Amino acid sequence: MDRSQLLKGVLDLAVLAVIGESDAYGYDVVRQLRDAGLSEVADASVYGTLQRLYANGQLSTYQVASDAGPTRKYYALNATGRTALSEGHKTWQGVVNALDGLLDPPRGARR
Amino acid sequence: VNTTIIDEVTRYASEVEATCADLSAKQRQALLGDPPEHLREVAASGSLQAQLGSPQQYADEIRAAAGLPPRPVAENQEPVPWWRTIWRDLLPAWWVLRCYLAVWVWALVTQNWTYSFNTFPFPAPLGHPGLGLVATVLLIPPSLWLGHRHMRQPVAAMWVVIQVATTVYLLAFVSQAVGIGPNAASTQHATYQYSCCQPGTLVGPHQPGDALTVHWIVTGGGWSYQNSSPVTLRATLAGSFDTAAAAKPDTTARTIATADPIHTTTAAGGSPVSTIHIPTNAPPGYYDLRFSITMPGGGSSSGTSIIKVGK
Repeated sequence: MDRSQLLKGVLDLAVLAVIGESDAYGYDVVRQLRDAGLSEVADASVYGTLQRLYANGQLSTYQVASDAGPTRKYYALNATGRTALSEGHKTWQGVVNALDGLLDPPRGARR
Repeated sequence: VNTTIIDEVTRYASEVEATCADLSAKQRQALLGDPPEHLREVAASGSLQAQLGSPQQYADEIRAAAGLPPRPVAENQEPVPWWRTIWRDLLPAWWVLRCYLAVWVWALVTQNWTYSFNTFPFPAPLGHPGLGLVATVLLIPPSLWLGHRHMRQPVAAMWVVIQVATTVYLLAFVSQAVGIGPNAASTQHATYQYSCCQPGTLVGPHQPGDALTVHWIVTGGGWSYQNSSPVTLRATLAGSFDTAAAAKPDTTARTIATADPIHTTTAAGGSPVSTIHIPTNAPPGYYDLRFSITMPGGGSSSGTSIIKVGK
Protein backbone atom coordinates (compact mmCIF):
# COMPACT_ATOMS: atom_id res chain seq x y z
CA MET A 1 0.00 0.00 0.00
CA ASP A 2 1.32 3.45 -0.98
CA ARG A 3 1.80 5.32 2.27
CA SER A 4 2.57 8.62 0.57
CA GLN A 5 -0.80 8.59 -1.20
CA LEU A 6 -2.51 7.87 2.09
CA LEU A 7 -0.54 10.66 3.78
CA LYS A 8 -1.70 13.28 1.28
CA GLY A 9 -5.23 12.95 2.60
CA VAL A 10 -4.26 13.38 6.23
CA LEU A 11 -1.34 15.80 6.05
CA ASP A 12 -3.58 18.73 7.01
CA LEU A 13 -4.67 16.93 10.14
CA ALA A 14 -1.09 15.85 10.97
CA VAL A 15 0.18 19.44 10.63
CA LEU A 16 -2.70 20.79 12.73
CA ALA A 17 -1.92 18.18 15.37
CA VAL A 18 1.76 19.14 15.53
CA ILE A 19 1.00 22.85 15.83
CA GLY A 20 -1.84 22.12 18.27
CA GLU A 21 0.72 20.52 20.59
CA SER A 22 2.90 23.65 20.53
CA ASP A 23 3.56 26.56 18.17
CA ALA A 24 6.22 25.68 15.60
CA TYR A 25 8.12 27.06 12.61
CA GLY A 26 8.19 25.34 9.23
CA TYR A 27 11.21 23.12 9.53
CA ASP A 28 10.23 22.27 13.11
CA VAL A 29 6.90 20.94 11.81
CA VAL A 30 8.70 18.83 9.22
CA ARG A 31 11.04 17.39 11.85
CA GLN A 32 8.26 16.57 14.30
CA LEU A 33 6.29 14.79 11.58
CA ARG A 34 9.35 12.72 10.70
CA ASP A 35 10.12 11.99 14.34
CA ALA A 36 6.56 10.79 14.76
CA GLY A 37 7.21 8.21 12.04
CA LEU A 38 5.99 9.97 8.89
CA SER A 39 9.44 9.76 7.32
CA GLU A 40 8.26 10.14 3.72
CA VAL A 41 6.64 13.51 4.26
CA ALA A 42 8.14 16.03 1.81
CA ASP A 43 9.41 19.40 3.06
CA ALA A 44 7.68 21.19 0.23
CA SER A 45 4.34 19.54 0.97
CA VAL A 46 4.52 20.67 4.56
CA TYR A 47 5.34 24.24 3.50
CA GLY A 48 2.54 24.28 0.98
CA THR A 49 0.13 22.87 3.54
CA LEU A 50 1.11 25.49 6.14
CA GLN A 51 0.55 28.15 3.52
CA ARG A 52 -2.87 26.82 2.59
CA LEU A 53 -4.02 26.38 6.21
CA TYR A 54 -2.88 29.95 6.87
CA ALA A 55 -4.76 31.20 3.81
CA ASN A 56 -7.85 29.30 5.00
CA GLY A 57 -7.66 31.20 8.29
CA GLN A 58 -6.84 28.21 10.50
CA LEU A 59 -3.39 29.41 11.53
CA SER A 60 -1.90 32.64 12.80
CA THR A 61 1.78 33.52 12.53
CA TYR A 62 4.36 35.54 14.40
CA GLN A 63 8.07 36.18 13.97
CA VAL A 64 10.67 35.13 16.51
CA ALA A 65 14.31 36.16 16.29
CA SER A 66 16.53 33.15 16.92
CA ASP A 67 19.86 33.35 18.72
CA ALA A 68 21.82 31.89 15.84
CA GLY A 69 20.46 32.43 12.37
CA PRO A 70 17.49 34.16 10.83
CA THR A 71 14.13 35.25 12.19
CA ARG A 72 11.69 32.35 12.21
CA LYS A 73 8.04 32.46 11.37
CA TYR A 74 6.07 30.53 13.95
CA TYR A 75 2.64 29.08 13.26
CA ALA A 76 -0.05 28.80 15.93
CA LEU A 77 -3.61 27.43 15.90
CA ASN A 78 -6.37 29.98 16.17
CA ALA A 79 -10.00 29.22 17.09
CA THR A 80 -10.84 28.07 13.56
CA GLY A 81 -7.76 25.86 13.51
CA ARG A 82 -8.66 24.28 16.86
CA THR A 83 -12.16 23.51 15.62
CA ALA A 84 -10.69 22.00 12.44
CA LEU A 85 -8.31 19.90 14.53
CA SER A 86 -11.00 18.48 16.82
CA GLU A 87 -13.37 17.79 13.92
CA GLY A 88 -10.55 16.21 11.92
CA HIS A 89 -9.70 14.11 14.93
CA LYS A 90 -13.28 12.81 15.15
CA THR A 91 -13.43 12.10 11.44
CA TRP A 92 -10.11 10.26 11.57
CA GLN A 93 -11.24 8.22 14.57
CA GLY A 94 -14.41 7.28 12.73
CA VAL A 95 -12.45 6.10 9.68
CA VAL A 96 -9.98 4.17 11.83
CA ASN A 97 -12.74 2.44 13.78
CA ALA A 98 -14.54 1.53 10.59
CA LEU A 99 -11.40 0.13 9.00
CA ASP A 100 -10.44 -1.74 12.16
CA GLY A 101 -13.86 -3.34 12.14
CA LEU A 102 -13.35 -4.41 8.52
CA LEU A 103 -9.81 -5.64 8.95
CA ASP A 104 -10.23 -7.35 12.32
CA PRO A 105 -13.87 -8.40 12.59
CA PRO A 106 -14.88 -9.20 16.18
CA ARG A 107 -15.06 -12.96 16.86
CA GLY A 108 -18.42 -14.46 15.96
CA ALA A 109 -19.34 -11.70 13.55
CA ARG A 110 -18.44 -13.85 10.58
CA ARG A 111 -19.76 -17.30 9.94
CA VAL B 1 27.59 29.46 8.18
CA ASN B 2 29.53 27.89 5.36
CA THR B 3 29.50 30.10 2.25
CA THR B 4 29.10 27.09 -0.07
CA ILE B 5 25.88 26.28 1.69
CA ILE B 6 24.65 29.86 1.31
CA ASP B 7 25.51 29.74 -2.41
CA GLU B 8 23.65 26.48 -2.86
CA VAL B 9 20.64 27.78 -0.94
CA THR B 10 20.57 31.02 -2.92
CA ARG B 11 20.80 29.18 -6.23
CA TYR B 12 18.16 26.66 -5.26
CA ALA B 13 15.79 29.33 -3.91
CA SER B 14 16.10 31.47 -7.01
CA GLU B 15 15.35 28.49 -9.22
CA VAL B 16 12.29 27.68 -7.15
CA GLU B 17 11.21 31.28 -7.44
CA ALA B 18 11.74 31.29 -11.20
CA THR B 19 9.50 28.25 -11.47
CA CYS B 20 6.76 30.22 -9.71
CA ALA B 21 7.12 33.25 -11.99
CA ASP B 22 3.51 32.87 -13.14
CA LEU B 23 2.19 33.55 -9.63
CA SER B 24 1.48 37.04 -8.31
CA ALA B 25 4.20 38.68 -6.25
CA LYS B 26 1.98 38.38 -3.19
CA GLN B 27 1.42 34.65 -3.68
CA ARG B 28 5.13 34.10 -4.30
CA GLN B 29 6.08 35.97 -1.17
CA ALA B 30 3.57 33.99 0.91
CA LEU B 31 4.67 30.70 -0.59
CA LEU B 32 8.43 31.19 -0.63
CA GLY B 33 8.79 33.67 2.19
CA ASP B 34 10.25 31.22 4.72
CA PRO B 35 11.78 28.40 2.67
CA PRO B 36 15.24 30.02 2.36
CA GLU B 37 15.58 29.75 6.12
CA HIS B 38 14.34 26.21 5.94
CA LEU B 39 16.62 25.44 2.99
CA ARG B 40 19.62 26.54 5.05
CA GLU B 41 18.71 24.08 7.77
CA VAL B 42 18.23 21.28 5.25
CA ALA B 43 21.45 22.17 3.45
CA ALA B 44 23.38 21.90 6.68
CA SER B 45 22.76 18.15 6.66
CA GLY B 46 23.54 17.47 2.99
CA SER B 47 22.84 18.36 -0.60
CA LEU B 48 19.51 20.10 -1.21
CA GLN B 49 19.02 18.35 -4.51
CA ALA B 50 19.45 14.92 -2.88
CA GLN B 51 17.10 15.67 0.01
CA LEU B 52 14.43 17.77 -1.66
CA GLY B 53 14.64 16.86 -5.33
CA SER B 54 15.09 19.42 -8.09
CA PRO B 55 13.96 23.01 -7.49
CA GLN B 56 11.19 22.37 -10.02
CA GLN B 57 9.94 19.32 -8.12
CA TYR B 58 10.16 21.24 -4.86
CA ALA B 59 8.16 24.12 -6.33
CA ASP B 60 5.58 21.75 -7.82
CA GLU B 61 5.12 20.06 -4.45
CA ILE B 62 4.72 23.33 -2.57
CA ARG B 63 2.19 24.55 -5.10
CA ALA B 64 0.21 21.33 -5.04
CA ALA B 65 0.11 21.27 -1.23
CA ALA B 66 -0.83 24.95 -1.07
CA GLY B 67 -3.73 24.32 -3.44
CA LEU B 68 -2.33 26.56 -6.18
CA PRO B 69 -2.60 25.70 -9.87
CA PRO B 70 0.32 23.73 -11.31
CA ARG B 71 2.87 25.78 -13.21
CA PRO B 72 1.96 26.31 -16.85
CA VAL B 73 3.59 23.92 -19.27
CA ALA B 74 5.82 25.84 -21.67
CA GLU B 75 4.19 25.77 -25.06
CA ASN B 76 6.25 24.69 -28.00
CA GLN B 77 5.49 27.59 -30.25
CA GLU B 78 6.95 28.58 -33.57
CA PRO B 79 9.37 31.45 -33.05
CA VAL B 80 7.60 34.72 -33.80
CA PRO B 81 9.33 36.75 -36.55
CA TRP B 82 10.80 40.05 -35.29
CA TRP B 83 8.64 42.20 -37.55
CA ARG B 84 5.49 40.66 -36.12
CA THR B 85 6.63 41.43 -32.61
CA ILE B 86 7.25 45.05 -33.60
CA TRP B 87 3.93 45.28 -35.39
CA ARG B 88 2.16 43.82 -32.38
CA ASP B 89 3.82 46.33 -30.08
CA LEU B 90 2.95 49.21 -32.39
CA LEU B 91 -0.70 48.25 -32.83
CA PRO B 92 -2.06 50.42 -30.00
CA ALA B 93 -0.25 53.42 -31.49
CA TRP B 94 -1.99 52.69 -34.76
CA TRP B 95 -5.37 52.48 -33.00
CA VAL B 96 -4.81 56.03 -31.75
CA LEU B 97 -3.35 57.31 -35.01
CA ARG B 98 -6.33 56.13 -37.05
CA CYS B 99 -8.68 58.30 -34.94
CA TYR B 100 -6.55 61.32 -35.75
CA LEU B 101 -6.46 60.43 -39.46
CA ALA B 102 -10.23 59.88 -39.51
CA VAL B 103 -10.80 63.37 -38.11
CA TRP B 104 -8.46 64.75 -40.77
CA VAL B 105 -10.57 63.09 -43.44
CA TRP B 106 -13.68 64.58 -41.86
CA ALA B 107 -12.01 68.00 -41.79
CA LEU B 108 -11.04 67.73 -45.46
CA VAL B 109 -14.54 66.60 -46.49
CA THR B 110 -16.21 69.49 -44.69
CA GLN B 111 -13.83 71.89 -46.45
CA ASN B 112 -14.50 70.33 -49.85
CA TRP B 113 -10.93 68.95 -49.97
CA THR B 114 -9.62 72.50 -50.31
CA TYR B 115 -8.39 72.66 -46.79
CA SER B 116 -5.53 75.00 -46.15
CA PHE B 117 -3.26 73.35 -43.62
CA ASN B 118 -3.18 76.44 -41.42
CA THR B 119 -4.21 74.58 -38.32
CA PHE B 120 -1.73 71.74 -38.85
CA PRO B 121 -1.19 69.53 -36.88
CA PHE B 122 -4.77 69.95 -35.68
CA PRO B 123 -7.59 68.96 -38.04
CA ALA B 124 -10.44 71.47 -38.05
CA PRO B 125 -13.68 69.82 -39.17
CA LEU B 126 -16.33 72.45 -39.98
CA GLY B 127 -13.56 74.98 -39.43
CA HIS B 128 -13.17 74.31 -35.71
CA PRO B 129 -9.87 72.89 -34.47
CA GLY B 130 -11.45 72.40 -31.04
CA LEU B 131 -14.07 70.16 -32.58
CA GLY B 132 -11.26 68.19 -34.22
CA LEU B 133 -9.59 67.68 -30.86
CA VAL B 134 -12.78 66.63 -29.11
CA ALA B 135 -13.65 64.26 -31.97
CA THR B 136 -10.18 62.68 -31.89
CA VAL B 137 -10.30 62.15 -28.13
CA LEU B 138 -13.84 60.73 -28.31
CA LEU B 139 -12.87 58.29 -31.05
CA ILE B 140 -9.91 56.86 -29.15
CA PRO B 141 -11.75 54.67 -26.58
CA PRO B 142 -13.95 52.83 -29.13
CA SER B 143 -10.96 52.44 -31.43
CA LEU B 144 -8.86 50.93 -28.65
CA TRP B 145 -11.74 48.70 -27.65
CA LEU B 146 -12.19 47.45 -31.20
CA GLY B 147 -8.49 46.84 -31.66
CA HIS B 148 -7.94 45.29 -28.28
CA ARG B 149 -10.81 42.88 -28.68
CA HIS B 150 -8.76 40.83 -31.13
CA MET B 151 -5.60 40.70 -29.06
CA ARG B 152 -4.87 37.55 -27.15
CA GLN B 153 -2.85 39.33 -24.50
CA PRO B 154 -2.90 42.97 -23.44
CA VAL B 155 -0.01 45.06 -24.67
CA ALA B 156 0.83 46.85 -21.47
CA ALA B 157 3.96 48.75 -22.46
CA MET B 158 2.30 50.63 -25.28
CA TRP B 159 -0.29 52.20 -22.98
CA VAL B 160 2.44 54.39 -21.59
CA VAL B 161 3.37 55.51 -25.11
CA ILE B 162 -0.26 56.26 -25.87
CA GLN B 163 -0.70 58.29 -22.74
CA VAL B 164 2.44 60.29 -23.38
CA ALA B 165 1.45 60.93 -27.00
CA THR B 166 -2.04 62.03 -25.98
CA THR B 167 -0.65 64.35 -23.35
CA VAL B 168 1.84 65.92 -25.75
CA TYR B 169 -0.93 66.39 -28.30
CA LEU B 170 -3.20 68.05 -25.76
CA LEU B 171 -0.42 70.31 -24.47
CA ALA B 172 0.53 71.31 -28.00
CA PHE B 173 -3.08 72.09 -28.75
CA VAL B 174 -3.61 74.15 -25.63
CA SER B 175 -0.37 76.08 -26.11
CA GLN B 176 -1.31 76.76 -29.72
CA ALA B 177 -4.79 77.91 -28.75
CA VAL B 178 -3.87 80.18 -25.85
CA GLY B 179 -0.70 81.43 -27.43
CA ILE B 180 2.12 80.31 -25.16
CA GLY B 181 3.88 77.82 -27.37
CA PRO B 182 6.91 78.48 -29.59
CA ASN B 183 4.65 78.67 -32.63
CA ALA B 184 2.04 80.94 -31.15
CA ALA B 185 2.74 84.67 -31.19
CA SER B 186 -0.75 85.59 -30.09
CA THR B 187 -4.20 84.15 -29.82
CA GLN B 188 -5.30 82.49 -32.99
CA HIS B 189 -8.69 82.62 -34.61
CA ALA B 190 -10.30 80.85 -37.45
CA THR B 191 -10.65 83.36 -40.28
CA TYR B 192 -13.25 83.24 -42.99
CA GLN B 193 -13.87 85.25 -46.16
CA TYR B 194 -17.34 85.92 -47.50
CA SER B 195 -18.48 86.35 -51.09
CA CYS B 196 -21.63 86.05 -53.14
CA CYS B 197 -23.21 83.80 -54.06
CA GLN B 198 -23.28 80.06 -54.15
CA PRO B 199 -23.64 78.97 -57.78
CA GLY B 200 -27.10 77.88 -58.82
CA THR B 201 -28.94 79.34 -55.84
CA LEU B 202 -30.16 82.39 -57.76
CA VAL B 203 -31.45 80.53 -60.79
CA GLY B 204 -34.90 81.80 -61.67
CA PRO B 205 -37.22 82.75 -62.91
CA HIS B 206 -38.62 84.10 -59.68
CA GLN B 207 -42.17 85.31 -59.23
CA PRO B 208 -43.43 88.51 -57.57
CA GLY B 209 -44.07 87.70 -53.91
CA ASP B 210 -41.30 85.05 -53.77
CA ALA B 211 -38.62 85.04 -51.11
CA LEU B 212 -35.29 85.21 -52.90
CA THR B 213 -32.59 83.57 -50.83
CA VAL B 214 -28.99 84.69 -51.20
CA HIS B 215 -26.57 81.99 -50.02
CA TRP B 216 -23.24 83.58 -49.15
CA ILE B 217 -20.06 81.70 -49.95
CA VAL B 218 -17.86 81.10 -46.91
CA THR B 219 -14.24 80.20 -47.56
CA GLY B 220 -11.16 79.75 -45.42
CA GLY B 221 -11.44 78.46 -41.89
CA GLY B 222 -7.72 78.37 -41.30
CA TRP B 223 -6.19 79.73 -38.15
CA SER B 224 -4.73 83.17 -38.24
CA TYR B 225 -3.18 85.59 -35.78
CA GLN B 226 -5.51 88.35 -36.98
CA ASN B 227 -8.17 89.46 -34.60
CA SER B 228 -11.72 88.66 -35.45
CA SER B 229 -13.38 91.59 -37.29
CA PRO B 230 -17.05 92.37 -37.80
CA VAL B 231 -18.45 91.84 -41.28
CA THR B 232 -21.77 93.04 -42.66
CA LEU B 233 -23.43 91.24 -45.55
CA ARG B 234 -26.01 93.22 -47.49
CA ALA B 235 -28.13 92.41 -50.53
CA THR B 236 -30.65 94.56 -52.41
CA LEU B 237 -32.75 94.16 -55.52
CA ALA B 238 -33.05 97.02 -58.04
CA GLY B 239 -34.95 97.29 -61.27
CA SER B 240 -36.71 96.55 -63.35
CA PHE B 241 -35.02 96.45 -66.75
CA ASP B 242 -36.31 95.28 -70.03
CA THR B 243 -33.20 93.32 -70.95
CA ALA B 244 -30.35 91.70 -69.11
CA ALA B 245 -27.93 93.86 -71.00
CA ALA B 246 -29.60 97.03 -69.77
CA ALA B 247 -29.44 96.00 -66.11
CA LYS B 248 -25.80 95.78 -65.34
CA PRO B 249 -24.42 99.22 -66.16
CA ASP B 250 -27.32 101.14 -64.67
CA THR B 251 -26.50 101.95 -61.08
CA THR B 252 -29.23 104.55 -60.71
CA ALA B 253 -32.13 102.12 -60.80
CA ARG B 254 -34.62 102.20 -57.95
CA THR B 255 -34.14 99.71 -55.13
CA ILE B 256 -37.36 97.74 -54.72
CA ALA B 257 -36.39 95.35 -51.91
CA THR B 258 -33.64 95.02 -49.32
CA ALA B 259 -32.58 92.01 -47.26
CA ASP B 260 -32.00 92.52 -43.56
CA PRO B 261 -28.23 93.03 -43.22
CA ILE B 262 -26.36 90.13 -41.68
CA HIS B 263 -23.85 91.12 -39.01
CA THR B 264 -21.23 88.47 -38.62
CA THR B 265 -17.48 88.28 -38.03
CA THR B 266 -14.42 86.88 -39.76
CA ALA B 267 -14.29 84.22 -37.05
CA ALA B 268 -17.92 83.11 -37.32
CA GLY B 269 -18.11 81.26 -40.63
CA GLY B 270 -21.22 79.14 -40.89
CA SER B 271 -23.58 79.43 -43.86
CA PRO B 272 -25.30 82.84 -43.79
CA VAL B 273 -28.35 83.35 -45.97
CA SER B 274 -29.99 86.68 -46.80
CA THR B 275 -33.61 86.78 -47.81
CA ILE B 276 -35.11 89.37 -50.18
CA HIS B 277 -38.86 89.47 -50.44
CA ILE B 278 -39.76 90.36 -54.03
CA PRO B 279 -42.75 92.76 -53.84
CA THR B 280 -46.01 91.31 -55.14
CA ASN B 281 -46.39 94.32 -57.44
CA ALA B 282 -42.90 93.99 -58.94
CA PRO B 283 -43.26 94.28 -62.72
CA PRO B 284 -41.82 91.38 -64.69
CA GLY B 285 -38.37 91.93 -66.12
CA TYR B 286 -34.70 91.79 -65.22
CA TYR B 287 -33.44 92.90 -61.86
CA ASP B 288 -30.08 93.72 -60.48
CA LEU B 289 -29.16 91.83 -57.30
CA ARG B 290 -26.56 94.01 -55.58
CA PHE B 291 -24.55 92.58 -52.76
CA SER B 292 -21.83 94.01 -50.59
CA ILE B 293 -19.48 92.70 -47.92
CA THR B 294 -18.21 95.44 -45.63
CA MET B 295 -15.68 95.33 -42.84
CA PRO B 296 -15.35 98.61 -40.92
CA GLY B 297 -11.80 99.80 -41.48
CA GLY B 298 -11.13 96.66 -43.46
CA GLY B 299 -12.54 97.68 -46.84
CA SER B 300 -15.46 96.24 -48.65
CA SER B 301 -16.29 94.37 -51.77
CA SER B 302 -19.45 94.36 -53.78
CA GLY B 303 -20.91 93.02 -56.97
CA THR B 304 -24.07 92.37 -58.85
CA SER B 305 -25.91 89.48 -60.34
CA ILE B 306 -28.83 89.67 -62.74
CA ILE B 307 -32.00 87.75 -62.02
CA LYS B 308 -35.25 87.44 -63.89
CA VAL B 309 -38.66 87.98 -62.31
CA GLY B 310 -41.90 86.88 -63.93
CA LYS B 311 -42.51 84.93 -67.12
